[in-house]
Parts: sequence; C-alpha cells; structure tokens
Amino acid sequence: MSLEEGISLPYTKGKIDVEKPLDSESDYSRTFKPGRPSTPSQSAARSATGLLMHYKKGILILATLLFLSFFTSVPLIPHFKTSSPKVVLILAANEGGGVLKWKGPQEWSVERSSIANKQQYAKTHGYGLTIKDMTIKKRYSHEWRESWEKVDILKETMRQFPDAEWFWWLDLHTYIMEPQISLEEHFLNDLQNQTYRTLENFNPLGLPVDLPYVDYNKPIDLIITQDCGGFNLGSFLIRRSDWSEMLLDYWWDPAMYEQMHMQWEHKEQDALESLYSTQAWIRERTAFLPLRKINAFPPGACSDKAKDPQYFFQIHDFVINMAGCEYGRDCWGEMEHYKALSKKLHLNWWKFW
Amino acid sequence: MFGPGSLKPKYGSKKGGVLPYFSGHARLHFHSRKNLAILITAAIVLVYFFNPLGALGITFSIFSRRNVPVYPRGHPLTSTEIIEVDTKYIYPPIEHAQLLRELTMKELVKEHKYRDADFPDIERYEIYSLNKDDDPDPIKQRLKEDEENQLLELVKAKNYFKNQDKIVYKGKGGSYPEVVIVTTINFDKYSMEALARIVQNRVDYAHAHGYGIYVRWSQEFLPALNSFSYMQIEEKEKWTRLFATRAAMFAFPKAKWFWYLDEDALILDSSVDILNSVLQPSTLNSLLLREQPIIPPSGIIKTYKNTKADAIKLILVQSPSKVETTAFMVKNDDVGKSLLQGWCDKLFVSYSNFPFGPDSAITHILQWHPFFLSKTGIVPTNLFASIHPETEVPPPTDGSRTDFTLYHEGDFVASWWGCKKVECEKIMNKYYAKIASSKA
Repeated sequence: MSLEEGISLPYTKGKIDVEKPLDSESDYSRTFKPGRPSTPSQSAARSATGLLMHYKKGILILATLLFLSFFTSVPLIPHFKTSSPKVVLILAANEGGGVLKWKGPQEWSVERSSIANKQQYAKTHGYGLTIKDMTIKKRYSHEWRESWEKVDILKETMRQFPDAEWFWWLDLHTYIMEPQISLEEHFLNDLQNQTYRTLENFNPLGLPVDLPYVDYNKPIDLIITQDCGGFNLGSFLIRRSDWSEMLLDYWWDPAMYEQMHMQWEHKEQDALESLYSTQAWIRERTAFLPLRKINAFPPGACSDKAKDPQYFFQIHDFVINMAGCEYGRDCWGEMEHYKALSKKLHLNWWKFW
Repeated sequence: MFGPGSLKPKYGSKKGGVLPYFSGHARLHFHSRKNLAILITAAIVLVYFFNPLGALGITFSIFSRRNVPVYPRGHPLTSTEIIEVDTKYIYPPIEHAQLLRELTMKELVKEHKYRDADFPDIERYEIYSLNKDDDPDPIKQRLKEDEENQLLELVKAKNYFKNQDKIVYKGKGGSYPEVVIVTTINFDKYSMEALARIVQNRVDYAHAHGYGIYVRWSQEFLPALNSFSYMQIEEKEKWTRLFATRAAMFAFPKAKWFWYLDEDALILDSSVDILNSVLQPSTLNSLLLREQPIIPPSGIIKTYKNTKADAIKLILVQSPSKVETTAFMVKNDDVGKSLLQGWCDKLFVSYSNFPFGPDSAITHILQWHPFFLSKTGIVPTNLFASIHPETEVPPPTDGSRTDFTLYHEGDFVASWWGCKKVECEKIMNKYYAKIASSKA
C-alpha cells in the first residue's frame, strides 16, 4: 500500500484507466469539427435526431397510429387498454350470514384468507375484483325471490365494470391454488378446445343429450362445471352479451318458479338445469369445463363418488372449491390446509427454510 | 487487478486485426442491414397486430390448434334428418285433410305410456312423432316409404304428415325470401276447400312480393304440446303457433322476418307490402305504440317510450283488452329466436294460470322481464290483423279504441276467432268473396 501511494508513477496504481489519460489528452487538443459528435451522449442524441429526420414519414404514421390506438376508439385499429380489466372476479362473501347466525372467529379467518387470495390473484394478472355481500336479508317483496341474489349481483357487476368482458363468479370457500396461471392461458384463449358442449360423455343428471334446433356454432357465453350432482355454480364464468343479459333477465321467472319451487332446492342451479334441458338458445352458448379445471373438490365433497378421480383436487390443480364444507365439515381447517399447501407448492427454491 | 475486459484494444473488440474498417464500405453494409431489420420488424408488426389477412379468415397465431371438437348440427323438432326443397312455398298436401281426419290424431303420433316411480297410481303418456321409428339410414327409409306410399293412401298421408317437419328451404342466393308467412292449419276445423283457400291466399300474397310461406298442420306439434286434450282446447292449441314459427325459422334460416298469421285470417289486399308498410325501421319507428299498456286500457306496465325500431325483435298487436297472437312478427336473429323459445317454454305451456295460452304467457313475460319488453313493439292492430266485427272481444273498461282494432273496408288483413266450425267457414267465405270481387 505504502509503495503504491509513495510512488507517483501512473501505471503502477491499482485502478488505472488506460483510456483516461488518452481521453484527457484528446480533450486538450480537440478542435471543433462540424458534423462530428464530440461526446458519446451528444453523438447518441445526434444519431437519434438523424434517425428521426431520416424516417420522418414513418414515425409520423406510427405516432398517429399509436395515438389513435391509445386515445381514441376508431375502428380497424387495435386498441390496447390497460385501464379497464377484461376479466372481473366476483367473490361472494358472507354467504348464509346475516339474520341466521353470527360469524365466529374461524369464519372471519376463512373470509380473510379467501379475499386475500383473490386480491393477490387479481392484482397479479390485472383483473378486476369485486366482493359482494350475500347476507340473507328481507329484500324482495316476493318470498321465493330470496337467495336468488346471484343474478342481481351479476347484473350489478356488469354495470359496475362496463368494459369488462368475462365475469368469474367464485364462492367464498374457494382458493386459487396456482395464482401464477392467468385465465387466458388456462383456457380463455383456447375455449373451443378446452370446453365440451354436449353431454354425451359426462351427464351425471341424465339430462336430454339431444335437443332440436341447437346450433353449436354460436360463441360460448357461459362456462360452468358439472360435479357428481349436476351443474355447479360455485365457480363459473359468464361473458357480457345480449345473450347473457337475456339469460340473467329470464333465469328467474315467477310463473316457472311457482310450479317448481318444491323441486328446485338449489334454486339458480336447478333453474339453469331446467332451462338447459328444454331451451335451445340456452344450450347453444353454454359450455362445460372439466370440474378440476376451475372447481376441484376436496375429498369431503361428493362423498358418494369418492373413488372417481375426476372430481377431486390433485397437486397443481388451479382452484379448489371446498363445496359444502359448512354442512358438517371444517371450513377453516380445509382452508388452512389448502392455503398452506399452495404456499408450499410455490416456495422458491432458494428459500429452503 | 487486470480483470478480463478492463483493458480494451483500441479499435473495438473484434479479433483478427487492429486496423479500422474501410469507412465508406462499412457504412454501406450497416445501412442495408438496418433497413432489412426494420422491414422485417414492420412486417411482423403488421401481420401480428394489424392482421390485414384477418378479413380472409387467415390468422397467424401460435395458439391455434387443429383438433377443434365437432358437434352435431341443428335439426328439426322431431327428426335428425332434413329434406331440402327448392320451392319457397312450403305447405303440407291439403288434399290429405280428409284422410288425416279419418285417421284421427292419435294415429298420427306415437304414444308412450309409463308410470312414474314416485306416483305409480297415475298413468302418464309421452307423445312422440312417428319419425322416431325411422330407419337411421335416410335412403333406406325413403325407399321403404316410396313402397308404402304406392300401396295405401292412408299410409301415404301418414308418411307425408310425419315428414313435413323435415322440410327446409334450399336457399338460392338471389331470390331468398325476406319475409316468410307462417300459418298452422287444423284439418278438424275447416273443410278441405276452405283450407285450400286459406293456403292459396298466402301463396298469392307471397308470390306478389317474392316472400315465402310455411304452413303446418297444427296436429304436427302434438309431440311439443305433449297432450291430446290440449288440441281440443282452443286456447291451448294456440301454442302450436309458436312451435310452427320456430320450425319456420329452421326451414328458412336466412329470411329476415317471420310473420305468423293464423288460419282464421285472410290477406285482403295483396298490393300492401308488409316490409314497407310495417317492417322498415323508419316506418316501424313511427308505428310503434309507445307507453302502451301491455294490458289495455289501463295496465301499469307499459311499452318503453324511447325504444328504437332497430331494437325491435317481436311485433305484437292487441285486441281492446289483451295481447293477441292471431298475428305477430319475429325477427330472424339470435335474440328473436331466443325470445320465441323463451316464450314457449314447457312450464309456460303447462301453466294452469294462463287462461289464454301464449297470449297470457307473453303478457306475463313482458310484465316481468324488462329485456323482453325492450325488444318488443306493439303496433296498431289494423296494420296486419284487423278484427272481424262479430268476433267476441271483451270491450275495454273505458270504451276507447274498440273502433280502432275492428275491420274496416279496405283493411289489409281480416281476422276472426272464437267461432264455431261452420260459422268460421262462413266468415272465411264472406271475406274470400271480397277478394274475388276486388280481383274481378
């Protein structure tokens, strides 16, 4: 050290820059030459301006297109809109709560976990999220109409997010196990191949397979799943369209419900099954996903079909739905289990503790 | 201390020589390469994002895969087969009316009796079309029928009756009918001559304007009604109107509008073009009755004030006291079809609190479902369904508008209902004479 400091020879120092003395030398002897860049930053600026000047027309056209794309909605030009989400998650909170019972600490915990999970997922992929209160209230003049809020909530959310296309309904007792997967890559970008639209191969309810006038070339506007007991609306998607507007309007009809309210225990679900089995227009735009794709069950649900693997969660399934856990199963225990499992599955390799 | 890269050669890092490049030459290459890169980038951007070939159906996407599932095509009510015809006047052979009457409707369909496990005491039945027994191979079936048809007239009538459902119009591009007139005819109600006149009346009108007609026996829709007794009840039989209109939409997939006109009606003035006089959006816009009560004259639910004619998919008329389905029009698009199907749901057909069948059902639907209401227009009745003055119509409570709906000399269409069999034919003949005299 002392040697280095003592001797003033430039080339013996630890950190010498070979270029530097040369540069300062050239600085010293530099004369102004027009057209030649003097410093690197100046030269970069100059070449950039040069490029700009050279591609004047091209850049003007590009700028115009970008402007039209971002700030207007003229046709024939793709519009990249980042502000409004394309997909909105609807989370039904407080199910069955309200006038019937008080919420205990475990129920609060389940709700917190479920909401945090959806929030994180929506944030990761830029989706919208709305949390809707499903408390039972005396809200309608017609007593049959109670607990048919699903339809109203969907309508309300569609008004709330006027630019969103898909609405993903999730019950409270669901957990997104693979939050890194976006819905687009999971199935939305490849709907025709991922879904099935006829009941030939899987028809747990024995609904009529063939219906007159059904045209399966229509786009898919409703994506649901079937569990061991028929349609499951714990996790489903609906697309904004004339069709869905009409379905939401038609779904609950007093004249139909008056005749069927004894049979339709599951309300919307049964009504939809009935509409699906009689009306071609409903069938045309309804598609099914395999249950495990967006709605996998834990071992406790569908207990009479416990040996059938198509219903039950396996590692790396997308969403778990602890359906029916409030009827004699431990919602909190299940939620904590799957929460921990999801965390474990997504540990980073360098975090080994 | 002298790590790799900290000492750089003076003329760039390229190996194999320290002399600078020949300046002019290098710049030349540099420019051409840069242009190429820009061109390629531009091409990729153009193809991927702006997709100019999209209009031709060509898409460039790394996501598209080949194995798109194949689903069955749409088929008519009672069969998976279709029979294509070139004529745009589709109607059953009227000369079979007498034979069909002899056969009775029970012979024309298949009845399946069964007992519900939950209610073993009650015997139920399901009505199927005779098409259910068809050979899966349509060619074999056809040969079989050709043979049968030569042997016995009764069997022939039966075969024609069941096959009527399969008939669809094989459209040719240029002259596709924009409007199709739909009628259901009942061989138990009118004589053969009267039925022939009714159908001929539609054909004449359609011919004058290049439209199509679609006529079915109302008994053909027994499988949809699923009850023999419904055919005896006039109000229940009305449901066949909707089933026939839906079948017509399948038979003429590219027509724009369907005009259902009951058999109890005649078109008196074939110079009126329904497309110009009602269906043109600009015309319809001025004809729509806005804020018109669904149940006249003082119902609480009214049609919307600001409905645009373009949004209208269903056009209805009213008698002084209720909506009438003796004539209505449906637009042939997804919403129009859905409205019609939603209207004739099984649960509505069987509902006991709908005294007027489909009339009550649509009244109910319009009052409960704003989507339906926003797509439905009510127009003055004399546009295409003026009511025969002797028809029994309960008058409105305030005495208004009665005159408006009744038939006047020179009206486009006259319709009557609620008559006894012979009486109906008399009224029909009276109006038919009017047409004949105006022609002469």
